Amino acid sequence: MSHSTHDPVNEPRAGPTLCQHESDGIQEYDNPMPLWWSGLFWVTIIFSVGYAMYFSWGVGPSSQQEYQDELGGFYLEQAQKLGDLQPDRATIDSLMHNDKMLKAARGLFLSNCAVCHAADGGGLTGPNLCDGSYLNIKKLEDFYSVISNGVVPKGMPAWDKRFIPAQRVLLAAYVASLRGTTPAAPRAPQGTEVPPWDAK
Amino acid sequence: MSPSHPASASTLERFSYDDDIVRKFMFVTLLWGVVGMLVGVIIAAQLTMPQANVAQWLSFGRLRPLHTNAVIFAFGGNAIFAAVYYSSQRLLKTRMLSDLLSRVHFWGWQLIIVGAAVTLPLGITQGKEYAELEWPIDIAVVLIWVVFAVNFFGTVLRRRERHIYVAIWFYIATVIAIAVLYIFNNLVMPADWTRSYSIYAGSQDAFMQWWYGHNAVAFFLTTPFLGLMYYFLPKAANRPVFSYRLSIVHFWSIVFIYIWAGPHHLHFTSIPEWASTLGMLFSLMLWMPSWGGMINGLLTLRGAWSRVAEDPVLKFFVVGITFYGMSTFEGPLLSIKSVNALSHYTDWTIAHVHAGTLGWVGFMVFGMVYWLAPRLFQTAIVKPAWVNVHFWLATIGILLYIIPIYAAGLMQGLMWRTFNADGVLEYDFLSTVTKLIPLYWIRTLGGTCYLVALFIGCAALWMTWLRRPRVYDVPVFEAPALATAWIAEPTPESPLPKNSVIEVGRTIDRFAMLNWHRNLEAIPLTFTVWVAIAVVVASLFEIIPMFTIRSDIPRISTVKPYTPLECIGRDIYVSEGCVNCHSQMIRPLVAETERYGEYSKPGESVFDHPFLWGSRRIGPDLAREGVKNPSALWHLRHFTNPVDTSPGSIMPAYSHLIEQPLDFTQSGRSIAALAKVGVPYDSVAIGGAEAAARAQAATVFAQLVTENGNAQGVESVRETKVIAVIAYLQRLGTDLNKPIDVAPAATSGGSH
Repeated sequence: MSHSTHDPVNEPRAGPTLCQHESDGIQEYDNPMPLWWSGLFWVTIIFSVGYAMYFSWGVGPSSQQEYQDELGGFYLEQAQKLGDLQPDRATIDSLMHNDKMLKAARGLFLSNCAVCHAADGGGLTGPNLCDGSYLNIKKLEDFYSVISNGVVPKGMPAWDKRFIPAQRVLLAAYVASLRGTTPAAPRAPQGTEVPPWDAK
Repeated sequence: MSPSHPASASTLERFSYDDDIVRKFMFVTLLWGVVGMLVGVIIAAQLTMPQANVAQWLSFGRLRPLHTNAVIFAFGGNAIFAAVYYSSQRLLKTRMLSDLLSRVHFWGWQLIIVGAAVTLPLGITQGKEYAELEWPIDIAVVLIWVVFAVNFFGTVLRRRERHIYVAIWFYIATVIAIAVLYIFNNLVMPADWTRSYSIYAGSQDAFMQWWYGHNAVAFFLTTPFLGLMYYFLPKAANRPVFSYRLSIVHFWSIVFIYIWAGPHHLHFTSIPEWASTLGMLFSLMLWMPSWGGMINGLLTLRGAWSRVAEDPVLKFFVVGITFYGMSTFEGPLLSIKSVNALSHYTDWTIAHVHAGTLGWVGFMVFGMVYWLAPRLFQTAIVKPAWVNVHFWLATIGILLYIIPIYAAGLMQGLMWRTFNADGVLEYDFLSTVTKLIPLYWIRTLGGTCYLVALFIGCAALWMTWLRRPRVYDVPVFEAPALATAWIAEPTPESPLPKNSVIEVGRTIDRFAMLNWHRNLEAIPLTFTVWVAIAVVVASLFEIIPMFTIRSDIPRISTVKPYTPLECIGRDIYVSEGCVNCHSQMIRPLVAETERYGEYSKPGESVFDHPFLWGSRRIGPDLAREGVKNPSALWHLRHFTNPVDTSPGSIMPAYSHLIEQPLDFTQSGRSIAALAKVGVPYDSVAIGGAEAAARAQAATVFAQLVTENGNAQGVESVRETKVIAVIAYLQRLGTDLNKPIDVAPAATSGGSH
């Protein structure tokens, strides 16, 4: 089978030898395994041994360690960016007039609160946050405690384990700032009308 | 059939092959292929328009398991049997052991498929992927598999060919491994005829499931199809197989290495890190063994490439093998932890799977069918042009399916991890779904092309069948009986110099020459024992530590078993197939814990029989749903009409949960069955299950009324199924109750 030189593509060049056996007419060549194939097989084996030793002997970090480091860095960055926000009236009031901070808070609101309070705060299963009537809020500082501790029997979760304090202060300011806006489909007011935030 | 004269080596025995059984299996391959792929197109369409979930029996969560089971076990399974029954008889020069067993196998398998097609839409499921069939059907599967095994090995034993060919090796691996995998992953404790609980829980159940799930890919969708390739490809190409040695090495490495790779489906989940690492490394090592099959396939065509352009059989085979090569490169890639962190739970997995099944499995089946048809129907294929249309339209269909779905997977994975400049996640979950819908439309179109192409192919085959002879010609063959004595082939001496110091080297050298393998092929039972040892030993290396290292699954004292009502809710969750779209496993990745809350701990799922971690997030993760969204009213509205609470949602409405009465009586049986598999319920809890369930249902209803302001509009759901599901969802993830470690002062600020 090595005599044809006219069709180098369709004819094995070096004339491989056939094995002696056949099965139902099927023959097999006695070709060696391709060198690149055996080589790559050995590379994966050697890499695996090295990788296993590096990570199982405690040299490399585990997924959990990597996560803890990354999370630490993430929260450090958040805390630095937000600064030391206290849940007091003055801080919340100043945040309510800080557009840049409110924009950051809006992201938190949309991904965590909008599911019940609607994206524009008009209320769905949760109450309307825009109408000036509140179930559990008497004064500006109350937003922080309701966000932190929730109103669990009514379906509002406690968020103190999800957000660092500064994030909760920021959210409090955002929710307070929703008052007086006009949502697309407002839920009827619940609770009692609370005096405006700037009232003394 | 058996000769009356005394058998001797020189006496020729006369025999014929049972091709009728091959025709039967081939027919149902195509029939169930059409059904399974049609269901696939339907569920693809449901993801583009949730209104297409027209009835509870036809909702995505129930049909998706029907699609996977139909295409894997009905289409793929029957194709495997057709290949095995056709090629084994010829490779072993004997009729199958028993025509009766062949028919029991055939009809039994079809009954199982019908059973699956009825029970899965009814919501009767074990809740584990590709292992959904409930325990009575599982028993039938095992019995029929034993029938197949007896028939197959009996045929091997009465062969007239001393050595078994490589195709038979792969069939042996399939028969043995599937039996082991299927039995041990399906061990369940029945609660009644239609419900059961896996005997394993949480991390261990997850491990067993993906040991099974991954190796179902290995030993149901890979090894039998490699066997098929080794027979039908050289036949169709009329060329010798490229390398006998390569077939030996890649066969044994596949059989041994594949088994370990399962945990790569569970990276970053609550399984121990060592298992995850082994899963990744063995997947990397599997790359070349898999490519050994591809090389032996493609290089066998050397000298026949000119015919590939003309022969549709070879075209199907070439494209099929090419997809095999792509998928088995992509598999190791996806098993790398950092890649998996991006790809897991996304459509990337779906694309990967469909490249493998539509490309490799499907095209190998079609190539085989078109090669078999003229031989089985004993007439030339009518309308060969239609076969060409099948090939091209199906190829276009695959591309239209996988390209948008690869894009969807990448897009969604990247969106999930994107933070904006303020350190807030850029995309809420729903928006990462709605952005994919145009791509889902293209995917549906691709799937439709593939299905229509199959219809066209079936039409050509139908017309061919109509032209069959009135009576099939059954050729009679002659061959001498297998001699009892045989001469082992000598292993050549090593060319290395004789020297006692390097005697070990000489032994290794002789081993590496692989001549000993030829002798192993002459003793198939010993060969089978070695295959079983490879499979079992590789399994035990991971299973034994998984079940014995207690420190891998630290108990959490606050995690308690579900209440009776929550158990009912969980049963409904399983039955509706919620796990097909919702994971319950938050990985330790910052983007993930920011979205869903503290990552899931192994100790949190110790009472989860079965585990419900899921593998795809078409909807959001629910591991901390009870923490994130305890509102009963929200859930009621969401089940009634998901778009009311989540505009643009593609989740089906679950009006039947709101209408159907809750069966409180089932909770006692559930709790009793769970107690038997180790969940700490005492006899008091079992006896009082129903009363406890009723009491909790009243509490949930009271909450609904409180949240709603009054009972108006919610009164009708007081004792319906939705109450139990809400109770279950409100419980999810609440037991951990552990504060997140907030910013460690200035210790480690490094982020990787």
